[in-house]
Amino acid sequence: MSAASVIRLRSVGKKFLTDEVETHALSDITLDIGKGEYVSIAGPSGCGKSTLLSILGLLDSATTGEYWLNGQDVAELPDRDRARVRNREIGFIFQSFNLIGDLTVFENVELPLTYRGMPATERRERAAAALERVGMQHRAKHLPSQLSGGQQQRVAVARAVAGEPVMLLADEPTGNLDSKSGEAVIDLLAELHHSGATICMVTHDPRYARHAQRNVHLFDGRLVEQSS
Amino acid sequence: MQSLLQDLRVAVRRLVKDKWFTLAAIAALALGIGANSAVFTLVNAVLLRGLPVDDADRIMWVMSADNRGRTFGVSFQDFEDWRASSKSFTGMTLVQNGTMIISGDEPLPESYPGGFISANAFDVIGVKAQFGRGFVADDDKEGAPPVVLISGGIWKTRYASDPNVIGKAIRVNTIPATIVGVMPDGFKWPFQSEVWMPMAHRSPAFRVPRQGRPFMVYGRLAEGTTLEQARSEMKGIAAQLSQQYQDSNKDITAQVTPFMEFLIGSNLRTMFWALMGAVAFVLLIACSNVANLMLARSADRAREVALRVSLGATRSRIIRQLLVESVLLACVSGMVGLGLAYAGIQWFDSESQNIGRPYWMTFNMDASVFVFFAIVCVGTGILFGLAPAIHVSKTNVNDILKEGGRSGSGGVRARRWTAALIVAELTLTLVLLAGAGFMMRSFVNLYQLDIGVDTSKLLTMGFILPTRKYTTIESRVEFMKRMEEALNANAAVAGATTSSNQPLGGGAQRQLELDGKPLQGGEKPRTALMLATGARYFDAMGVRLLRGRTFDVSEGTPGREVAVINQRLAERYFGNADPVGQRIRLIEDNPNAPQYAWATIVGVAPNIRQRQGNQTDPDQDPVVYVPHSQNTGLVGLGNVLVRARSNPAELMPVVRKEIFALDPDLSLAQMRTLDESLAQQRWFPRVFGIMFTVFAGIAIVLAAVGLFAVTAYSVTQRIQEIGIRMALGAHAKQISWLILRRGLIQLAIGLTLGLAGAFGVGRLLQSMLFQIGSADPLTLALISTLLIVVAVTATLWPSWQATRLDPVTALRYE
Repeated sequence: MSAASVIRLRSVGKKFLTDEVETHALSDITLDIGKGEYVSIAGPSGCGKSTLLSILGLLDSATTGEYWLNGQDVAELPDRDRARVRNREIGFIFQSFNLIGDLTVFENVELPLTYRGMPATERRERAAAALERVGMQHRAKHLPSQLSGGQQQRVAVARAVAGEPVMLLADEPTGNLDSKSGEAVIDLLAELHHSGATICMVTHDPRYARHAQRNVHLFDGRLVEQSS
Repeated sequence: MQSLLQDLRVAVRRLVKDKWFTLAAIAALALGIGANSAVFTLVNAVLLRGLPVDDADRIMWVMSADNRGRTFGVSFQDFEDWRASSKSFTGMTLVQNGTMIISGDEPLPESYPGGFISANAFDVIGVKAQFGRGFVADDDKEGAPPVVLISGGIWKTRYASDPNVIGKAIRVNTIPATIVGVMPDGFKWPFQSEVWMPMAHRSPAFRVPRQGRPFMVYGRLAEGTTLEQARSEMKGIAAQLSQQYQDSNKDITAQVTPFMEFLIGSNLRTMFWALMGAVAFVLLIACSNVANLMLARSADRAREVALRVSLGATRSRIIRQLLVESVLLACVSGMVGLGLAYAGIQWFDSESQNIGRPYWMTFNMDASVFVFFAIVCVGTGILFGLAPAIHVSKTNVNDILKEGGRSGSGGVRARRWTAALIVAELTLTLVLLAGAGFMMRSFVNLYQLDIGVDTSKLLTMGFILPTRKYTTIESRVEFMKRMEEALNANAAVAGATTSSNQPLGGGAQRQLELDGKPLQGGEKPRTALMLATGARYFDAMGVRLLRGRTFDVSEGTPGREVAVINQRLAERYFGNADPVGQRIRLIEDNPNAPQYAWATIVGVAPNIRQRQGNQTDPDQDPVVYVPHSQNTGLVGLGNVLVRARSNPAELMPVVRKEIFALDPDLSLAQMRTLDESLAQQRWFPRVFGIMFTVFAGIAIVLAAVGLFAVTAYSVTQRIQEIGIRMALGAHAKQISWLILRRGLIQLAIGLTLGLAGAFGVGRLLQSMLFQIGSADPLTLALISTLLIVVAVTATLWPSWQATRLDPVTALRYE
């Protein structure tokens, strides 16, 4: 395994059993993502992009194969350890922002640090810094419902980077945004990448995929092409 | 009207469609409405319906009272003076209840509750005989031929509804008398009487001395006279008598009280209203539950409401439709509840058959109950339906229709309603649990009370030796001695005796003087209960004296006065000194009554409880046992106590036969085991304790179900949030705590408010509690723990379920 690999997948497969019918969502995926790399995953609907992202984010488990995250074998981790790894090593950015409506912008950003058991002072400093990084510090006390979609996604990005994870996973981060806001979010991701973040983004929009250093194409659950 | 019918049709369809919701709501509401209907039926019978006589509110009870506010009976002569002087009453009448033994005709002698009454007693209340005649003034004159009125019940059972019973010659308490009338069916005025004779035939011994006050008086307030005017007039008349008869009437006044107020008493009144409060709480909890269920459904209703609004329905129209649905639900639940109420009333009726409740206190559902029932059904429907209806009616049509059916009316508003309702449920439940806890601990204390004797094989029965037949104290003492001897000679009897009072049956409160130990300045008067007993009292009780001996049959005569004292008296007044051989004297309160002689203590008995004790004085009373012949009170009135060698119930016919052989006219009243007698004494805390416990049980189940449902529902509402939190790294405990925390906060608020309410309940029930404080920390700790355990259990499962969610599915959940 390369010392610089943040993600290393070997022959990863995922089967679903629905009504006694076996569906192969992913088959024989082998993929490495190096530290500081910006990778996009593309493919038609139902090709397994989101399933792959869920496995990468430890929200789901592969049925077969090996998964090494930041040098640690995470394929067979128990639930509690998977939660810890998610919290410390991964930052999620969702298509539908997934901010918690009852919490303020600041509390949303602070939330993963709270789960980490970080002291309050450090937590606040990090959350404030993350919000400043995405230009949303002036909206810290607002509720998500008081923000536009683009602003909400910037807050989601701040939440993802606040814990300084080794990997940012973005699942169609522009899917719910108008083109202008979408561009702004993609610019923000590019900026994060330039400052050293490792990013893996699912998108089916070639305009945004171009920002990545490497494009991975999935079709029917298989990795069919990798291009730089 | 047509649109209302349309709403009703829609409501029926909706309830049928959501059958699980409908069934859950009906179960909760039926319990609440049923409990309310049942308790209201009791309250109606006891407190509201009143006496079954004309213009019942004007029937007044008149008593003597001293300057300390203590009330007691009326002397015959005071009554005569009151009647002659008073203008406030159109009729005033004298009553003395007692056991009336009918004999001298074909069936065996039988005793019935009955009474001697003034001839106008039934005219005052406006009731006439169903056939024959009532009493006339001449019946109540000295020397008039004795006549008797019997109840419809006696006529049917003893005389097989014989129409020729009028004119029949019988003996009543050995007095030859003629039946002149049969009173209406069910009539047992004033309490349980079934045989009535004119007061003229009461022994003159009761009627002559003014200081003897054995009678009860009631009267009908004259038209236009107020209660206050009557009170004022009677006080004036009593004040005159007080001046006129200093020896007997000093500081004696007259107290006028409405009959029902006198009869029910404040304790019973408080208890019934407390029960009414308890069931109102149960109903409120049920309403909270159903309101929560409806709020949970409000998300589903929001789209339907939005569509209706978009089609032109006004907000009031929407609210009306939703209220029709909730009122219909309440009415259906009410019908089920009515069945539960009927069963509950039957249970209470059978439990209260033998507690001496007045004959007119019948627990049936009359028009008042049905009106109450209807009001409760409609009120309940509005109560639990209004909040959800208002909530749903505020639906933002644009939001809902744009979101394609996703809830726009849930969120913070619904959560606040739900949280408030859950806190209210928990608060009310704790208050109910407190009531149940206090009552049941009281009952347990009472049940565990050590009486000091083995009650299991002891048979008790009351008797009265008629003074016309047993004219002297000596003849009465002699008869009781023969009765003891005859019973003790029977092989089935382990020991038999007579006593003025049975264990836990009280005693005569007397002051006590110790020879050579006068009261020191400021020392409180010494007091003791006095019991007149037969010589074999302690053998029959199965106890051994701690010191000395009991008295023998030859003692108790002038110059040979003796007493046995109990351990409590010995410890309290003699300390470490040996009381045997010392002399004591009981003092009669009334200076005009015959006084006791000095008596020598011959023995010390272990403590046998004569009274239950109370909050301020839970210990046994000091007791002095004296032979019957030393009793200055009503010698010849008391109890026979028989200890059986085997089953006491089998001994009953044996005892009857032995006593019949001695006096065929003597009737024995309330023959039963001491255990049965004690069970009757414990009726009040037992039955009301059970009722409180049942209602508290319903409340805690409803609260637990409510909390569970709301928590489980909140999990479904927060699935996506839970998914997000999982994605951000929250582990199972943190997710579980997220759900649990909300329930615990509600529990903490509910506990705080509920404990405040529990103190209030304790104070309300204080006078009915036995050996337990109104803020008993153990009870409060126990009920709080119970509620915490139940509430935490109810929230644990949904919170655990939340941790089992698949984060991928949760994130996609809408």
